[in-house]
Amino acid sequence: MKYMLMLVSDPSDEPRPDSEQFGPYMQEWFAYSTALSEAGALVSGEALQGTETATTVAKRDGKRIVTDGPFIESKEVLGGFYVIDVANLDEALDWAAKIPNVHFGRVEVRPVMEFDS
Amino acid sequence: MATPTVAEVFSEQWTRLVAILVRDFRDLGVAEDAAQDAFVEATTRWPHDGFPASPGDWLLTTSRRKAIDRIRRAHRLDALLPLVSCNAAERVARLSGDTCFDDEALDEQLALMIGCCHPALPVESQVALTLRIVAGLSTHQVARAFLVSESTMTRRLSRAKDKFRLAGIPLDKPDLGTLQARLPAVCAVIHSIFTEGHASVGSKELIRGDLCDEAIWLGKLLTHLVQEDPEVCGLSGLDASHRRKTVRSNRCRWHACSDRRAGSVLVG
Repeated sequence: MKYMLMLVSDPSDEPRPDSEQFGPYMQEWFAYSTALSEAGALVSGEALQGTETATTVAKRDGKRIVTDGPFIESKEVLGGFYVIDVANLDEALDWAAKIPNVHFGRVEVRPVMEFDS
Repeated sequence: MATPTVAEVFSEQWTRLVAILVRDFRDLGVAEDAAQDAFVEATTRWPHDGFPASPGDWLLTTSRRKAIDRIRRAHRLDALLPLVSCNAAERVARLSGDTCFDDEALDEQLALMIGCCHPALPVESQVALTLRIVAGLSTHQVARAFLVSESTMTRRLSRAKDKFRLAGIPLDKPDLGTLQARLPAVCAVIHSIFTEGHASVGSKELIRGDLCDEAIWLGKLLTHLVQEDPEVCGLSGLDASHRRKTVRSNRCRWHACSDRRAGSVLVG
């Protein structure tokens, strides 16, 4: 089954790029992605730029409405995601628990909807 | 030994039957419906045709056929069929006697108990699923236990079964690590059923023996499935604390059970 792991955290909790912890922290992400890939579980995954770079689009009465910012303002934001393909929810939860920022952030695990072909 | 009643067979066979069907069909809803269909057929056929030599085999064959029929029709019945279940008084009388369990499909029964108490389900759903799927109470009985309407309970159970299927909650035999991590949740569910029976909020009765007895029965089943776990062993205390009020030993039945078990060990 495919699951999306949505990585939600407060960006101010992350090690800053000029800090000593930053290098090892990046190494953890690299190791995590490699492990997912080597286990054959990785479908895709991306890290996102901050919500200050977000633009939100909607269409109302046929008219396009473009606004600056994310669709919802909050301290904790979606910082990235992985889509993984594993046997069941327990395996997905095991992978989610190994995500490097799970110590201060949270991971929402959602099954991907499958459509009958 | 006197011919058992359908209700007695229900109490002995329900969990094993559902557990095997869940293993085969990988769907709680399909397993629950098929097991129920088989018992409905048993209540109409056995009194006429006589009891089958092996009720467990008869039920398994019948419910597998029912499950396949249902899947073929590609049609899930949301409205549950009239529920086969014994009335509460019969159940209490049976549960308070010495209990014996079918020794088949133990791994599947354990997987079922562990699955129904998955942390991805809200605790109230874990308790409701355990009573409906593992203990075999009717939706009506589970609703009464929670003091909610039957339609509310039907929705709660159906949401829980949907999450099971859509989120991919596993129903496999747990490995040792998973088992140890998950047993406390199962014990917590059993304790909360027992506590609800003793201090039922909003109920006129101070002690509802039916829920206490279900908790004791579930505790015995879990102790039977998982031996030598200190927390699980603690569940036998439920029985001791409750026994003063409800003890009703049934020696004949106990001997019949031990004879049968001894027989099955010898036969292998």
